[in-house]
Amino acid sequence: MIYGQEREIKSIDQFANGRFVRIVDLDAGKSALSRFCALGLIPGTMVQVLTKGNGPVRLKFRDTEVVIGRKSAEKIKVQPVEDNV
Amino acid sequence: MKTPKSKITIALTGNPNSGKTTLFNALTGSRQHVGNYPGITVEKKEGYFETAQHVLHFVDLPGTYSLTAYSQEELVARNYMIREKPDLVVDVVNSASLERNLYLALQILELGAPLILALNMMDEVRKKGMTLDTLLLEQRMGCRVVETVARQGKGKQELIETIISLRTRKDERRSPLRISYGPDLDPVLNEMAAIIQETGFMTDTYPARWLALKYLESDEQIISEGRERSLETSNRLEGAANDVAEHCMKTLKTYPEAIIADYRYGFISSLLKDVVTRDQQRQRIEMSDQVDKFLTHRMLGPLFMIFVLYMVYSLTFLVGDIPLSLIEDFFGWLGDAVRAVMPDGLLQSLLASGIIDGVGAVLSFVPLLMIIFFCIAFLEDSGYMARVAYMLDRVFSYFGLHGCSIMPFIVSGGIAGGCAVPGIMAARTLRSPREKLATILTAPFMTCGAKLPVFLLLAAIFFPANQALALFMITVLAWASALLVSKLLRSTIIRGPATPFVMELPPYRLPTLRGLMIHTWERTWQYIKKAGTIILAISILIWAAMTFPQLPEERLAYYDSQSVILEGDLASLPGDSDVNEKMDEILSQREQIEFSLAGEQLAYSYAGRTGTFLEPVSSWAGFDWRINIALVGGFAAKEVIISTLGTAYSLGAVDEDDPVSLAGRIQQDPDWDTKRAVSLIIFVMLYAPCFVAVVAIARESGSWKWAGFAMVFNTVFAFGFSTAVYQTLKFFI
Repeated sequence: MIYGQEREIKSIDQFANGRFVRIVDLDAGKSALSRFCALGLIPGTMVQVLTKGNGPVRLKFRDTEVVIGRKSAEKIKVQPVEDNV
Repeated sequence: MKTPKSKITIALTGNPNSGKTTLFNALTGSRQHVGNYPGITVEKKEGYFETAQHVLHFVDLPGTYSLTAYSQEELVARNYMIREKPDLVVDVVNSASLERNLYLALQILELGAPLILALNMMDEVRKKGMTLDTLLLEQRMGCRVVETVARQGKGKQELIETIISLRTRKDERRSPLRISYGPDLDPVLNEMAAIIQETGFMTDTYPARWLALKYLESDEQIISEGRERSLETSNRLEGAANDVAEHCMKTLKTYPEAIIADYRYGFISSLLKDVVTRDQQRQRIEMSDQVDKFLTHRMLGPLFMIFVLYMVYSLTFLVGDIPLSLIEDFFGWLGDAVRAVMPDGLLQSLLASGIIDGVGAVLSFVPLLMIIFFCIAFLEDSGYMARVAYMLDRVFSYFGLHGCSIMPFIVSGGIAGGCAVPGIMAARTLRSPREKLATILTAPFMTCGAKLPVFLLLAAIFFPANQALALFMITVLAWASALLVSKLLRSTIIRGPATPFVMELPPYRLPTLRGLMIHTWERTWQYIKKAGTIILAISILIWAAMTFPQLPEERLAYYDSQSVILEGDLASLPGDSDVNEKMDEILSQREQIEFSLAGEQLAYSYAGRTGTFLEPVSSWAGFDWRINIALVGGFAAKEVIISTLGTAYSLGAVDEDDPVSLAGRIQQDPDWDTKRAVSLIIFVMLYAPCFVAVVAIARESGSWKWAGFAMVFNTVFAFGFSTAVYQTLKFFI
């Protein structure tokens, strides 16, 4: 495992099992963007990814749990946060 | 002397899952009225609370996360606050996720609406080991804050007192909250607000800065309204908004909307600094999360889900059977009483066969429906329904639908006992026109509360040992049809890419009995109202179609003469030992004559002629003219199928001394067998939605074309399917 590569920006669906990530960018259309903003999924937000396996992506942030379809989740670009859980 | 009470109108708003409806129920109890907002199908709930001097009129606005133009619900909530100008707005927030919930509160303050913040679910906050400094929050927000636990009715009194005290000091006109949106947006916002002020552009309705913000967010509704008001000013504002959007894209690589959200959340964190304290020692894993590990487990989750849905049926049959037979008996007795008391004739026939049999058949299913509605309310209020949507999204997206399609499907009767009309309306939360259309067109396949009686009846007769299993299989078949047809539609006439699925998973909560009761009663009452109005009218109409025209005189005279002969035979019987045998023979002959009279009468009536006309084709699927009549009636409302069959049989087999229910009659009829029952179940499940649902489809899809499509396509599909099954079963049964 090369640690330098882990800090690369990836879409949030690439993470799972309780990993903490921080949103860097939203590559979304108007409708999805407006929904993400209303829920507080904006750049800078720290998110815990609770997904296990395939299907929709399950996220926890701002004391709320939200599920997002995998296609939409691909639009959320994140960076992993160093493990300090 | 009584002085008239002063009326205070209060809008209740809040995020979905914030306990808004629970608070509304706690405040207004049963004094509620459910209607629609004019022109659209979003539900409008109103309720009242009276004190010595005041009448508090609560309007429960749809749950929303924001006040953008994202969905119909958000538009309704926003427009109500702006246009109807309620005296007060109570924003119900889930205190356990205060940060996210305050996002809506800020937008209400930016509108300048008079706000009270109800910090709901304070019990959960304490359980999580968090504390909130309410007074500090109140100071910072500049509005009154009341702590509540809606489930237990706590804080209700304080909220009411706060409402009244704020109302009596009405001089307090607040100015809209002003949030800074940073060096990139603030200058433009000021400039745009100045243009708006100068030209008086819609300032009678909206605060200037709020309007400027909406232009920056490129809010479709506001911009189109603006263009109508003044194309010139609107163009200037759009120009300014576009320029800044381009600038943001170039320098910050982001959209104005994201910047606005960012500053709002920044503002919220500054509001909440020192307001929320978390007990670090008590970072324990919550119960809800523990439970969820099991309930949404990859393997166990779906198994448990199927188990839950199956339990809903089992419970319904176990408990519902008792009141069901009681009500059936009552209407059977009532019909006989009318037949006994009133002289023979058209009026007696109308009352007994048209009205009592028809409405009785419909009402006897009320207990079953109540149990099912209760179960659905429990699943919804406990938070489990959201998990079902979560688990099913993968499957749904495969069929070209949306995880949120689960709601329309379930409301329509995905768990047997819904109604396609609210189900079709529930599809409006779907933003994608294509998924929405596919959902609307296939949701009516589900087992609605009106089709359910048909299935219950047939299952009880033909699968007496396996009723629950039969009903379960019917539901599975309905789902399979809906999914496959939507896959078909989405890959043919409504082709196109998928749209985002975003949904909150609320923590598990034990629903309140009061809330469950209110939900159950609301849905049941809607069904009863329908039974009392549309269905009564249709029962009478169908009775008339089955009674007129009456048989020609010579036929009636023929039957009369036949029975006179038998009466004579009966009178001339000798008084010896053979008498019983002989009498039985004559009596059965007389019964035979009555049967054929009734049969001939019905076949001669308008309904009989229609049914007979269709019989050559419908017999491919095993349906005779009686079933045809019932199915045609069922287009008006599916509830009518049973009552029409009831009427058809009570007219067709006059046997007043032995009042057997419709079930009994079908059981005795040699024409009825399992293959016909299965074929009929399939046809009823899939054929044209009822008239009310068709109207709803036209409204929700925005075109009568789709409504017409639903009627024709579904009927053809249903008939093809039933015929195939019937013809196949012929080889085996």
